[in-house]
Amino acid sequence: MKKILLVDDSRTSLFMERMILQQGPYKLLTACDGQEGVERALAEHPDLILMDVIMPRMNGFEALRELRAQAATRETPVILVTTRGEPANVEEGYEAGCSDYLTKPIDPEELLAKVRSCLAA
Amino acid sequence: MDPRDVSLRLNRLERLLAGLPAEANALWDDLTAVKQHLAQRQVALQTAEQELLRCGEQLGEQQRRCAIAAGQLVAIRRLQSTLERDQMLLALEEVVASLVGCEELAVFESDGSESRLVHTVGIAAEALEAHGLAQDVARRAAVGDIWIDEKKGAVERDKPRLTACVPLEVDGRRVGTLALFRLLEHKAQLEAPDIELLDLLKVHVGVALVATRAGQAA
Repeated sequence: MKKILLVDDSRTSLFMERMILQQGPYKLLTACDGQEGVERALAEHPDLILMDVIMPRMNGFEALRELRAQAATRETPVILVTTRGEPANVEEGYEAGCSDYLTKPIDPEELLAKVRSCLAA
Repeated sequence: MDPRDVSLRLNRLERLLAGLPAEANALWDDLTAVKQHLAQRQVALQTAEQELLRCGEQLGEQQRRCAIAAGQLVAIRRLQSTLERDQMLLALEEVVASLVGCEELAVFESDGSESRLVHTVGIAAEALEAHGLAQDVARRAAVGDIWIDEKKGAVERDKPRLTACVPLEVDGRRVGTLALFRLLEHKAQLEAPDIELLDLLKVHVGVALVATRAGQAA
């Protein structure tokens, strides 16, 4: 069973992502900010990370750069899931090393397709 | 070669040739039957393909409805999960941002004929006054139904504008108003599922507002 780490300070977003993904063959873990997200990723070695961008303590871009700097998580696919859909933010996300980018409100079908694609790669 | 062998061979050949028309006819009949069977199978295949297409469309519609229902369930669960006014307003902020696609909102609470601003996100209270939005909200809210800005095409984004106005109700009684302003940049306009969710928020935010008011008073 693939392990997916959900990182978001919004309980609503975490709730929604869980509802969409819990029907699939995934074990779901959560973290409520970038710092906790990095710590859980290093401890749990998820197969995929869904990461919000605007978060306290450490934002998604910073967390992503930290994950890419660590050997254990350098290759872990990360999908940024955020309300920040401006081109500049999307570009920064890819420059920081994300595998894909998804804007909120989340389209469940799009999320599932991107999750499957990242896990299959 | 022995002439008797030649004669035997010729006779055999003659018999074979004599039987060819009948065999050809039989083959032709078989071919015709196969063609008819193939035509029937093609018709059945086309029917099955159309049925599959129809089922696919139905499945897509059901999946769409499930996604809408999931969002509504999440919204209700979040809003009803607390009696603390601050936490409820945070939940509302998350619901509107993550499920509708708007990070500028204002909540007004009504007490009889009086309405007062109790919370804003992404827009200052002063800006509501400066841009005449408070009056805009009051005017739209007075109608009593959900109001959605139907303006199509590119809209100005350099100043706040009212996108939706949702009356908040409990037992048919108006208890407040939820106003949404500019949508997220990548969201062109509110869609039917968003309006369904706002219709749900009409009651659930109303109930949450009253419930957390009691908590504040306690």
